[in-house]
Amino acid sequence: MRAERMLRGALMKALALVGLHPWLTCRECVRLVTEFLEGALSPEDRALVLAHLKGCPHCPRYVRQIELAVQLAGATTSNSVPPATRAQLLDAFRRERHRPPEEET
Amino acid sequence: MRHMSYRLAWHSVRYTLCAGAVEVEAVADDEETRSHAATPPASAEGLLVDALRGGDERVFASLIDKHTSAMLRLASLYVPTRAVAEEVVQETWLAVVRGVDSFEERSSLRTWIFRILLNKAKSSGLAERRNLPLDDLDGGEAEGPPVVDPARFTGLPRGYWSSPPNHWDELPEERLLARETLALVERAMESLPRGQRAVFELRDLQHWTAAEVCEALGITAANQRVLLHRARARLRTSVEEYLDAR
Repeated sequence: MRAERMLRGALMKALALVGLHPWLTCRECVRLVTEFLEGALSPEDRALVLAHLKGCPHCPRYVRQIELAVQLAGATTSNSVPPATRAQLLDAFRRERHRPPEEET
Repeated sequence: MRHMSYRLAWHSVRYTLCAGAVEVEAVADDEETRSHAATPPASAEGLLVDALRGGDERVFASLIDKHTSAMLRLASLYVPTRAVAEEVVQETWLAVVRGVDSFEERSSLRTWIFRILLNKAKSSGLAERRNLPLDDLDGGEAEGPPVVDPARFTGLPRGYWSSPPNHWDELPEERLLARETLALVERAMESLPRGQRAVFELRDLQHWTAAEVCEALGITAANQRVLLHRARARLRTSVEEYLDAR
């Protein structure tokens, strides 16, 4: 797999060098990666990034590491609420929304 | 609405990790499509708002549980102390409870809540005279150095990796999830400029859509992407440098 990828990458690079095939550099690929992941690229640019990722031995790792770093960030983050804060907020909610029904006259 | 033209579809890339070989496959995550398809005329969100207006405490509790922690982190970006941030969050919830009757459902409920939060945090930050310039949220960061050191792309031909990413992603999970590594990631997140931190929080930690983040933070789609791009790249670089060092 890896050999095939490198071979394909080398071939594409060679074709790109002599101007026969549009081909992104790694630097361009890294620059476009978020727009790619966000679906914000034109179909042509999107195809270029995909082609680069298929042929490049390094950039797929870069993208994978971006995703992994995001996952690690998620693992550090807790969404828990201090019980005291929670209780206070619920109290406030009761005061504001559970108004006693108006007395019938 | 200036974000209308922005496409909501989120494309993710799925990788099968097998011995260095990576299959790239673009996957259109049709979260949006699904939610549209599943949305009955009276939307789930509408029911939520109605329940809130009717004084349903469980609905309010679930909102608190879902958002308070992220609200605290966001407010902390604008005010000097944790205590002030907590105050801002409390005031925000109070404003939500009092204002839900006039919530017009033109934005999502959480977008509305976070807009209230950010307004309060910003004015509170101003009052505390600790407010830093807001430029990082309105385009100031759009221009900047490349996210990866250009010196790493001096391969032949030019523009290709000469110093490619090291293989930290292949480290065992115990290493990646070790307390030290996570502490490093946390520090790296905290050191992000405010705009990047805010976008990263909402997009990658709270999993909001790009459009919602734009609306809550009052930034353009392009600016949102730039901030996200820089935040993610900085985190990746921090992890790489840390795990490479040993």
